[in-house]
Amino acid sequence: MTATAASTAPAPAGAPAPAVRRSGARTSAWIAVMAVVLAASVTLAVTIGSADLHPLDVWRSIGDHLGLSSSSLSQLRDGIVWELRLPRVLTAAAVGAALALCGAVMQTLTRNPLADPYLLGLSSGASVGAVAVLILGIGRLGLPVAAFAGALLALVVTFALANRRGELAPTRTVLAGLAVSYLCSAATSFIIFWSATGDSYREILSWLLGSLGAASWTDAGIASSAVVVVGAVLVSRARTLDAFAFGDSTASTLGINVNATRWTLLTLVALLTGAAVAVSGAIGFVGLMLPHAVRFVVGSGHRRVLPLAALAGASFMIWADTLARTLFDPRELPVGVVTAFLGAPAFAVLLRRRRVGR
Amino acid sequence: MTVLDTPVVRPSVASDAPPLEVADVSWSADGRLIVDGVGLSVPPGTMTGLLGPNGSGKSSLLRTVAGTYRPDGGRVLLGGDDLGAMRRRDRARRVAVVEQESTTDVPLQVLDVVLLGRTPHRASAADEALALAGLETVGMRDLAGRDWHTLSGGERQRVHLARAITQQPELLLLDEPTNHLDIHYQLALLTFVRSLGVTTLAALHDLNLAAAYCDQVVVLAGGRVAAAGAPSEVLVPDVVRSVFGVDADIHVNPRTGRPVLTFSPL
Repeated sequence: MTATAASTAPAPAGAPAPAVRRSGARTSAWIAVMAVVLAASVTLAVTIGSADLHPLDVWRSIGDHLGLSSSSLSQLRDGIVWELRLPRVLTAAAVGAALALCGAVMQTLTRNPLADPYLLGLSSGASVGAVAVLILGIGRLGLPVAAFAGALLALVVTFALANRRGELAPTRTVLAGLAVSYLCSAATSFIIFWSATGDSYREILSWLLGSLGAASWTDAGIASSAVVVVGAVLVSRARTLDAFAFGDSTASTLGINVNATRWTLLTLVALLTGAAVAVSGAIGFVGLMLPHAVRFVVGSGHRRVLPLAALAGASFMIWADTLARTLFDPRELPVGVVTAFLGAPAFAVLLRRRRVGR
Repeated sequence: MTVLDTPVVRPSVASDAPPLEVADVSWSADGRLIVDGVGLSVPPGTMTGLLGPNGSGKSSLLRTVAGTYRPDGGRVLLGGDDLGAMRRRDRARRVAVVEQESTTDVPLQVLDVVLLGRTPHRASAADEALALAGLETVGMRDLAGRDWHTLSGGERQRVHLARAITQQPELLLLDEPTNHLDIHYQLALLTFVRSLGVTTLAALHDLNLAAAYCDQVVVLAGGRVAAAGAPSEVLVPDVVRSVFGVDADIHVNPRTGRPVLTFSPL
């Protein structure tokens, strides 16, 4: 090979770039497609179940409630759409988006393809906070705050255990997260063992496995505002997240304040996890799997990955929850069981077809 | 021009390149002094080799100069500006670093990696052209769309160099950039670097590579400067014996006139 040492001048313009996947137009197309899929998922999922709803009924009901139209939809049908199904479907979408965003950011910041809120103890920490509040009966509004506090505490403990001279080695981080997870699970069991009786026991157990059965408009509001606010901040930091690809010290030489960035963004992730866990319990696999699936398709630039992971996570969770409530109707499966059943084989297929990182 | 014909005497250097001045820099870890009052200077647009045995503090000194480590004392001046007092992002606009064997788990295309060099700069429509020009400089423009994980070690190192070039630095810091490369890539990489005319400080293991490519060399031992100057002045039997603990015979490369060292155990 001949070294082209003489040609330090910029490459001649006009020479077409070789087959390079370019972001701009393609990303917009993907986002548009996934947004349509999400809108269709919301509409269809609301119609599925008893009462034989037509997709248009969904939009009529929404139009009526937003004061955009006044249709002749019966009160019963309107009630099923607006009071029962829509809050649940929208909560599912927000939770799915939140978990996928959390997973994508945690995988990047810990440089660990196995990182997700479930693995690093965030969900278990949030569960401790949430269960404590459920037992004490402080009420639904205390729940997100307690879940956030629990998640943040778990995060601090995990990183305190994993931290060594300011660096977070991937293996240490996973092991620390496991330790914190188990500790939090034990704490949750302990609280339930001492305090729960009869009905509250059953309620807590189904919630622990992940359930959207009790989702209300309040839940949808909490989860979706967390997704919109935190998601916007995360997307605005996409370039910073990209710079972590080759590790902390490379990120630092690219001008990133590594520690400050990590703590800020992980606190936001804890906030988002807390919001998701507060309304749905601890649902696994979504945060781990969807970011990888999205990266397979569009590469790993965060300007592409974050919005697409959020949209894909939302649609995925809607259908997982729809399966959960219809598969064994009238009995409901915990949605966490469905995501694991769907997620594990899908992940195995992806792993065999292409490597996940390495 | 092939790599092996590369003239070793530099005809002229870019006149607007700033000099690097490292003055009395120290850095310690866990109470142990790793870099102990090092002073050195790199003239504008030239390449200085940082030599020394394992554990002599080469990498630590580079990281301290880069600002990754905060020095316990001393100053690092680039063109008279104190790098340590700069905001991290401003520093990253002027100093680029290529570390040894830095890799990643995420799926990335070559062009994505090179574009990371634009991180400290304001995003612009010209970024992609700059990145492609960087790849052109290291002879890898045709591989812009390749998956990073399919590259060989030599190609990866050249992509990192392209990334550093795309950062448009005034100072280039290289930490054993030729590690694990075959002889062709070792020569090619250092040829690319020299041709840039950017002020460069490179930690090197191979004394012969340093002798062949560096304008100056600085030898570290135990975190201190043991010798500094032109390769032919510094790479002499006494210095090699006292710092590396081996005997050396010095020859002259018949093509370049540069020193060539052969070693024997003491």
